[in-house]
Amino acid sequence: MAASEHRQRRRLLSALVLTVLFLLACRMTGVSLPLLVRRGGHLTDIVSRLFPPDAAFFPTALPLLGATIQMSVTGTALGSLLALLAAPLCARSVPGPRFLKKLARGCIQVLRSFPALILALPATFLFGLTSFSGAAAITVYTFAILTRLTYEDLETAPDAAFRALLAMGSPVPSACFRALMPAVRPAFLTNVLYLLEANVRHSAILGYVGAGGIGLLLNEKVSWREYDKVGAILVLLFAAVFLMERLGDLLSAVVRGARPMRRSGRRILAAALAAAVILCTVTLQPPDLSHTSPALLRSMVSGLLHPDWSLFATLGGDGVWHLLLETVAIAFAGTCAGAAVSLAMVFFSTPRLVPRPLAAAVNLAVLAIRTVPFLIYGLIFIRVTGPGSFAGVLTLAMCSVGLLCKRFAQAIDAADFRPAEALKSMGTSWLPRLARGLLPQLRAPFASAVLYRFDVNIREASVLGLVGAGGIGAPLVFAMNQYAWDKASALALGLVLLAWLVDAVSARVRVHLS
Amino acid sequence: MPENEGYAIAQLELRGVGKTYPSGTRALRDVSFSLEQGTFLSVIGPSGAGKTTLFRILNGTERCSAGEVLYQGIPFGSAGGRRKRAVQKGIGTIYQDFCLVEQADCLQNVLNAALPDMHPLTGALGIFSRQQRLEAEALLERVGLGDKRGTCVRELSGGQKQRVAIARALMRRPALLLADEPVASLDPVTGRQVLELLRDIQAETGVTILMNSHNLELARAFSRRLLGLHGGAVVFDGPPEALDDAALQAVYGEEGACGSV
Repeated sequence: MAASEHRQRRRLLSALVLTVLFLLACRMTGVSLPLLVRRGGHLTDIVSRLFPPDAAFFPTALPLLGATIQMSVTGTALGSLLALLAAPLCARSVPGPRFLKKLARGCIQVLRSFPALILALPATFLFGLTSFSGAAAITVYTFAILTRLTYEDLETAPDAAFRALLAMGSPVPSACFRALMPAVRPAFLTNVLYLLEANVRHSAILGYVGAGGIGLLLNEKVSWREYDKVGAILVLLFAAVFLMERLGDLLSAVVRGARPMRRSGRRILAAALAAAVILCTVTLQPPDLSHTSPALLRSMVSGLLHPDWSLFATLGGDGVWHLLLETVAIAFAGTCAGAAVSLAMVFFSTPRLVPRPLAAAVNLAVLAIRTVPFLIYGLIFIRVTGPGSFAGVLTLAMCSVGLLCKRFAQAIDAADFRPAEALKSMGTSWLPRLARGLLPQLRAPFASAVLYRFDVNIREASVLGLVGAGGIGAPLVFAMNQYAWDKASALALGLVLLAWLVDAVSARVRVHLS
Repeated sequence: MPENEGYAIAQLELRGVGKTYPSGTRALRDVSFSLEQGTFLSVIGPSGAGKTTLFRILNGTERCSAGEVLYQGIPFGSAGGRRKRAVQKGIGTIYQDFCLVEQADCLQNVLNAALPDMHPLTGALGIFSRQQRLEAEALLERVGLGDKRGTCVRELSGGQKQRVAIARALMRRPALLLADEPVASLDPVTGRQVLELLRDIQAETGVTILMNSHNLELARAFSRRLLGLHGGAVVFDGPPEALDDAALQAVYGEEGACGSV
């Protein structure tokens, strides 16, 4: 049988399976188009009330925005530093006790399963309702992600020089930092810059659990329906994210060597960045330890070590399995819906296919979508659909559009237009030209972007519960607030399991794609 | 050779074709020639002589700014829209850089040539008839790639890619085959094999071939007629035997005469 037909049939089959899964996920999460159409007016109502933003509110919000940026800068810097030390411990290509490596990797995998917001909650129990807690949460979050990325890079980096130094008898740590680290440095710095930008967005919602920053204010204004003030905060946030993105682009150009710079210039830049980090760190609100007692710590540790297994024994609504399934369904439906919308949108966002002004306008809209912290979407959609998983699906769909449009556009910019041109010169009209000349090139990069977003959405779906938008987050936060550490531990274990499963599945699919 | 002696109108005729770009560059000036069915014509000339511009006008990517191109008596050099598309459908094209969809397999790439005759929607979805599939498979067989139809183009060698491109062009059942530097990205042996394939196909189908080439040796060996361009104007038009040193100098200028002959 010809491989060509076989491949087509397999593609058709996987499209069918995906559609069925999507419909099942929609059913489970109560997605209802009629409801959306009927109540969609509330959405446009809220959005229109964000404008014009209340300019008088800027002076109140600005210091809190400062604290937000402070938290993310400190957290990113400390987390990166720790990751730099931990990554060689985890990497298989660096000699060391196997048992220790396994353990270290396991710890990283567990930490990586939790979104910053979930990490921030225990931090507030330890360090009080201060921005110190927020910085601590961001530190751990950055540490976990970056260690993983870096040890994977270390394992694939060329290691001839490293082994040569070892053979000369140089100690492992110095050989590692002299010969192995330089190979992964550009990738490491690029990742740090990307995380810094993402962390500004994450920090903006940490206030929701009292961990400092602008989130508390944002939540308060949404609850009081003072949408013009919400608009003002979002404008500030938009400006901050925009500036961070620009700064990130500039710095990564320097890192990649695309922007030549003299040695003295580099030193001045590095010193300025270090000074900024130190300034952010020392002026951070100090921890409030007045509510922390040895008894609290003891009950926390013993609870976490003794998960409530009964939550695993039931298939009912409050058991771990049902909550996990619901979380996956929300993430899956949200990702699919977001991917579909992005797919329709992205072809209008590249100057290679549409007039430049139109492309610029679409891109600006996508940036605006990306700026709003996802929990805020949750709070807004709750007002439209009422509490429940449907709001969660809409939230994640919205956030997915923000990221996927950007990734898709990058793929189109990298595509080869000559085959489509050749089809054009044969007299083929535009639709089959795009479908058969361009789309085959985009399948793999698009799929990998969607896969990545699904991974992110699983994590975000686990905090949606905070605003009442379904998933495993609500019971987890509830348990922690009640100091029911055994329950929290069981639910957290479920999250770890889920993150591990998604990792394994997406690794499989990725191999299949390439 | 199935040369059609009694052909009434020339298959392709250029009348005083000129091309001036918006930047003011005059790429072609007053190019006139006509082509009979079944000829193998090579356009030669140094870089910047206007070979590529001429090719782009002939395949409809660009319009000429003076004169007219007649294809089987129908003017299309300055035409647009549906009329141009109708002419384009009867012309097969192969390129120096192949212009294949690298991520798709050979069969799908050949089938893409059926798109102009299909409804846009069925075309976009890739729903081809059994007959189209059989034809595409037969063409792959013809260019010597019968066993590669399910292989991704990305995994092929340069010569194999150009064979797929030839099969795609033949799928249009063209009366005219345009070849833009078809062997420039290939090594000499593979390049010769590709040209031999083109010559055999011409013998079988009587298709006219118009090739752009800066490889003078191969152009001489395979063409029945050469057209020399210099500075956008025709400076030589005749059989390869007539291309003497004086003519070479006119085409390539001072240093070209001792070139690749």
